[in-house]
Amino acid sequence: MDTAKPLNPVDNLLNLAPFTQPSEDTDVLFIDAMKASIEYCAEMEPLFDRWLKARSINISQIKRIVDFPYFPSSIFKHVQFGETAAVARTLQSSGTTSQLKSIIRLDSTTSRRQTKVLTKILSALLGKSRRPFLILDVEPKTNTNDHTLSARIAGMSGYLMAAKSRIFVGSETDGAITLNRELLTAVCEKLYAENNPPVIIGYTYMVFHLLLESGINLRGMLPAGTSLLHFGGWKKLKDRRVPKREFNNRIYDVTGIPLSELFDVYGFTEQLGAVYPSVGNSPAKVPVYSRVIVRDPTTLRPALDGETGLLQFLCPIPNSYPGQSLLNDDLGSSSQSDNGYYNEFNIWGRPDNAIARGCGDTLPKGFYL
Amino acid sequence: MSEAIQLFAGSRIKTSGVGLNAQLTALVAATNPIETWENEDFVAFFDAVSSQMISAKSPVAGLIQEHDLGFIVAWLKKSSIQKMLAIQLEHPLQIQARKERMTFHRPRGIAVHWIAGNVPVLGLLSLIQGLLSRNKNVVKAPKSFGDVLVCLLNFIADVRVQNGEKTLLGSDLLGCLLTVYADRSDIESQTLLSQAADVRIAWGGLEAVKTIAALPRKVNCRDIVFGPKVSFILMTEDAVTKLSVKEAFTLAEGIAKDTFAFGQAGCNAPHNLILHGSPSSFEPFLEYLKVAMRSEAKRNKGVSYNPIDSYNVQERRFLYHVGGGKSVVEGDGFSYTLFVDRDHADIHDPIYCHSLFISYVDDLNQLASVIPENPQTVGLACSEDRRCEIAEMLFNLGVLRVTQVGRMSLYTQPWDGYLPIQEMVKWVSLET
Repeated sequence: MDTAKPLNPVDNLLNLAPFTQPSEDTDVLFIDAMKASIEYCAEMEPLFDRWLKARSINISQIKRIVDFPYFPSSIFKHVQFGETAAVARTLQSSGTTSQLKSIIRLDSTTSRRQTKVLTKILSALLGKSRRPFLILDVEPKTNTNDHTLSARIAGMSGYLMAAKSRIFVGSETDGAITLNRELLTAVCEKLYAENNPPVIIGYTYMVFHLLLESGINLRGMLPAGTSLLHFGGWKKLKDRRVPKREFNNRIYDVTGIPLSELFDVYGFTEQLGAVYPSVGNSPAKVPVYSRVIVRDPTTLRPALDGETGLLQFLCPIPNSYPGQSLLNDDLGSSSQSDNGYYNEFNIWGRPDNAIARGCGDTLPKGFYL
Repeated sequence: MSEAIQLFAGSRIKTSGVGLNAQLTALVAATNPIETWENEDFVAFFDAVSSQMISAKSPVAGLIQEHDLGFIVAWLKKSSIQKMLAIQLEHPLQIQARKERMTFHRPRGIAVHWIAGNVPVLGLLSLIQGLLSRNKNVVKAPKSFGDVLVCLLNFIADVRVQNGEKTLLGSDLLGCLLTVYADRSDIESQTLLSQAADVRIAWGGLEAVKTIAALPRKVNCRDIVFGPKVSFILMTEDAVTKLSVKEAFTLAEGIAKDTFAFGQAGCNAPHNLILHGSPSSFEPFLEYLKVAMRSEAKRNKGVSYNPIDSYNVQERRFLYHVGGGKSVVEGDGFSYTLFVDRDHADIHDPIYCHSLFISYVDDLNQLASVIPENPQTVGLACSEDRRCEIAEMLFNLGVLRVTQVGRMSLYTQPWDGYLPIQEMVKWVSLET
């Protein structure tokens, strides 16, 4: 007699290969996983339960993915969920657009799911064998007081778990981060000789600063198969943002890394684990563990094919907080693929905040001309 | 070399072949035809403009409807202009004048109007007051309104009115008017405009007003700043408890109308509704308000919202759904939202999308702690016998206008504490 415990619907979904073609079957798995995850959270989180009830939402009756309720991811800046959960780890968002930061409490289940999903997605992109990682940042000291650096390293820790070895190629002098050219050159020479293609990894703005602005030229110094993976977007370098295509061309010019090995990964703290890689100049791919719906900012209905709207991300990974279905303040668009699914999307960034408010503008307290 | 684009000069659009500096120099040197216009000439002319704007053959009737400019038609009528001139230009000194000392007003010179993009009609009213004060005028138009403004000015330029013996021409009225568009980053053009001004009229948000204030200006230039303001509605229990169903619904319609006017973008648009009394006594009225908001939303169907605004409304909806003592009433999409807080009185910053924050005070003195430092209009609904007493209290708290509910969006005199025409002229005296 088989006494094996039946798998949780979320685990069922997470057992699929990350870029399995979505189908009616995967939809069923996805909906079941979402229901299980949301219902569990509703039991654990009285505020979330109150919200569902106030909106008369019965999760068990949901049949279509578009019908899952959602709320803005910024809610985590105002409400602290997971206070009753057995917290294994607490995450904080970077808080670049406001002073407030999202606080996300992870239990061991959420943490395990995040690691599993991220590992599977990274394997699909970078291959199953672990590779050396050249990190475009400064190595944190054991007892550092540099909270910005600590936060940066914490933000990439999930990716770094996939590394065979880690070499930080940034150095810091008087608060300024520069490229350690000697170290990078020496490491590249060694890896080239070993034909051991590394993964160059870092925040997008660090790639821009340390690779593109430093004047270094690594053409011919990197073994074939070298990849570059960056994430975090342009929030910290908004004024110097360059179009994706130009960014990728410039990366190719200084490294020789082809588009097929350039990965721009989109993700956000409130739904960590689920990441959306864009390969080269292509749109971001949606792994089978997630769904992305573009919503019309005026009606909230799913936007028409190719139209720009607010992005809703659905993913059943969160267990200790209600982050399964979140609306982000990034604008994006999505077009139907051949099989009728929206499994790729483009991100156009935050909406323009410079709205002409005129005399209806707000006046900060104690403001003087 | 200034990059400012000239939209309109004199009677017709002209290309920007001449630099802004040269145009401003020419404007200073030009003779202003309206210096010889009497007050009655302006009254007759604008009354004719008002009638022709909405006549069957009007080339701008569609434009007026499309851009929510209907108010200007009423504002230009004979009685309105007469009242405005009487209020603003019958100076107290003039009334008290003895024969041996007479007081007159004269144009200050060049009035430069920086028009905001949120409610462009206000900028248009500003220009008309610049004309009534017989100044030469320069309008720095918002990018979004430039074309509309040019159409309206072209229309006015073609108006011809016979006032007794005198023929009044629109092209004369606009003979000393420059309308330009200059990008906000074009500091060179903005500086030229500011340096030319004898009166600077700045409509706009914080950034715009800040930028204009920092531009170099003549020592004796007068600034009229219509900057960021906050407006709200105040209702007392006695205003609703004795109302018939019809009256209650009319009041609710007034709130909805004020909330939807100009897309809630004006400084006179309410974003908060403060109810004085117990929440239970307002329950029936709030039901009428829901219906009125729904109807107004239907009338405004097809309006689109900025994604930042809709995102913020979505965020606030969640917080009100889960917050103690709070509730939310929401329309389709973001067509309207009522955020009700039964426990804490507050005036919230605007989040737009026709949102109203409803909160309660037990005592009107509580308003002192919630009214921000820049209040403008309060739509007041209370029993008639308490109206003056409550208004006085509001004025003491810095409020500049107290209107009936449903009339907050109407541009009246004074505005933002100014009688603008009076500020746009200089007062001169003659001892005989």
